Amino acid sequence: MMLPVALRMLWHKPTRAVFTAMGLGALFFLSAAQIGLLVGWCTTCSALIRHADVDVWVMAEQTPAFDYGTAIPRQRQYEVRSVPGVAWAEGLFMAWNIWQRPDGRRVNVELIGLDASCVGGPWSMEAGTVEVVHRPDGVIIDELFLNELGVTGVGGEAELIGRRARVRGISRGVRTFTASPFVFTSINNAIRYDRRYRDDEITYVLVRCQPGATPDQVADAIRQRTDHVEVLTTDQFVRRSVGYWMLGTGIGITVVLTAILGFLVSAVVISQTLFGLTTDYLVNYTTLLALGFSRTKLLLTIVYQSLVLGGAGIVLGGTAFVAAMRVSARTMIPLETTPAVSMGLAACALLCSMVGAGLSVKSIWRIDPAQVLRGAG
Amino acid sequence: MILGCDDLRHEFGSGAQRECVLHGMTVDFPPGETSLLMGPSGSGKTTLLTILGCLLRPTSGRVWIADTAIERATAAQLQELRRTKIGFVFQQAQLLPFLSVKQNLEIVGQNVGLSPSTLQARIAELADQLNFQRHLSQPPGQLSGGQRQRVAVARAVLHRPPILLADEPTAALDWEHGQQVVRLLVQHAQEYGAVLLTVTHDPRLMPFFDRRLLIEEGRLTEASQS
Repeated sequence: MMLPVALRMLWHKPTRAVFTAMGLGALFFLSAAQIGLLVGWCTTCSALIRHADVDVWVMAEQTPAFDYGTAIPRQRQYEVRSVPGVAWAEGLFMAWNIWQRPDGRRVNVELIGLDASCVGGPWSMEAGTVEVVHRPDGVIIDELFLNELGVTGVGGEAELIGRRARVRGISRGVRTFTASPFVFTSINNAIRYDRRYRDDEITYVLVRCQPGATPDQVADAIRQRTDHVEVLTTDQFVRRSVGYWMLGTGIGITVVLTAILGFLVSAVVISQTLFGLTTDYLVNYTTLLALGFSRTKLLLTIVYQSLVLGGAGIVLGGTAFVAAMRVSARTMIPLETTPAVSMGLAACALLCSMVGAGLSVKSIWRIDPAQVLRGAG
Repeated sequence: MILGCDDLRHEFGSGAQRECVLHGMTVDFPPGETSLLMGPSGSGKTTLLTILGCLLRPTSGRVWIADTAIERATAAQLQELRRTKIGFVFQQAQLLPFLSVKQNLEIVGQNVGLSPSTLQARIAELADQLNFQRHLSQPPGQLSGGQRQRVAVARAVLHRPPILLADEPTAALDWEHGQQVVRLLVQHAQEYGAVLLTVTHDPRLMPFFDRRLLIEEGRLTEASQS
């Protein structure tokens, strides 16, 4: 009964309703874009770890994130292979390097050296196969960074600290969070490119478990049999890397605060609109109360109005966000979301709408139905 | 007793600001009787109407609304009495401006629990009787003052309440439309045996009512039968 009343009251002054919904849409977009940015960053900074499809990572102690790995002896790989529950173990090399473009300009890159099975390599290829990294001077770069690295495609050449690198494959959508492009090659090539490392050094040991053994059990077993390394399951390493970039650097906190600010401002906007609306129709609410409508029904009207406005904001802002997601999908800074995050955003927006109804609820609560008559005469 | 009070007193304010507006008033209204309540401004007539309309609790004394003593009633009980037992007509029609005439009647009918078929039948009957069929789909803002007040009367009698309270229902109307509205209220009271109590300043309305009550400084000074 009160929903049509709430909607008609809202629509009685359509300009105000439309502008409020548009404002809420813009604020929802702002909050969603911030969270979308965060989700995109979290995805990007842990993408290589997740796509490696291994169960356990062995690394130097106190490695803060994938991008800051420290060399460990390849001997660790052999020690790990002998641990019960380990089905497979290979190395992965990671080091910062300098890519010199044909025009002489230098670009910092993250050089990733792959072992025999190419695990930890690019997970989506535009041209060529991952195995090309094992060919002499063979490297794979991503289509997103062709321009930045000064090459046009397969066959392009550059130098890595004075040694020739030949592009033999192009990956698709393999981004880095650090803005320094990934350059994939073999471990042997990588060590040849960077003389700071010895031939028997790697950065990570990647481990797959035997059937029936859980990553936690195998990680514990490895910890007991190896010294001077840190052993993390894939989930733990993802959390550590994401935690380092998002919390350790403060960048995640900044976007979360902006998102919260967006929600708070939306609560204020909805509060102002609903309070104005309630004040405009206070005499009508008083009449309804005098005619025997319960306060609960009148409060329900406010709640419906707040939910309708909040819902309209979600639809408008959500539509803009989906469009922005599509536009950003092929860029270096993608906006992303998950079903849980989307539902969380919508829930936050609706919660803010309800909070914004607080002032109006207070007004309704204070109505004296006797005011409907002229006062004491 | 449908409607009545015994030794009803009411005060506003407290301490030095306390002001007594009703001084031990006793009156009852038999079913079907129509009464006019008159008196100068500030005499207490609206306060009496407010208390009898379950919108205000008296300071002391007893009040009966449809056999229920209301002086100790909770807010929820008062609201329930207003919803089911009382029909109000205010000085201004006070229709909801964002609803059509028909929707104004429908939400009140739904609130008192009329079935959809009964509600539609009564709206049609009242629209016909009060001559606003053509305006059912219009918003109240497009109606004249007289038309709006007729819709307000329809809203008050829609659920056929045993008590009808009207506060200066003709004050905003010309004499012709004023008479029309009063006739409608009286007709409903007579047809359904309802109590009708109307507050007014207009002595021209006296011939329409069974009884006239005069109130001065919070006391009933005259009660005459027509």
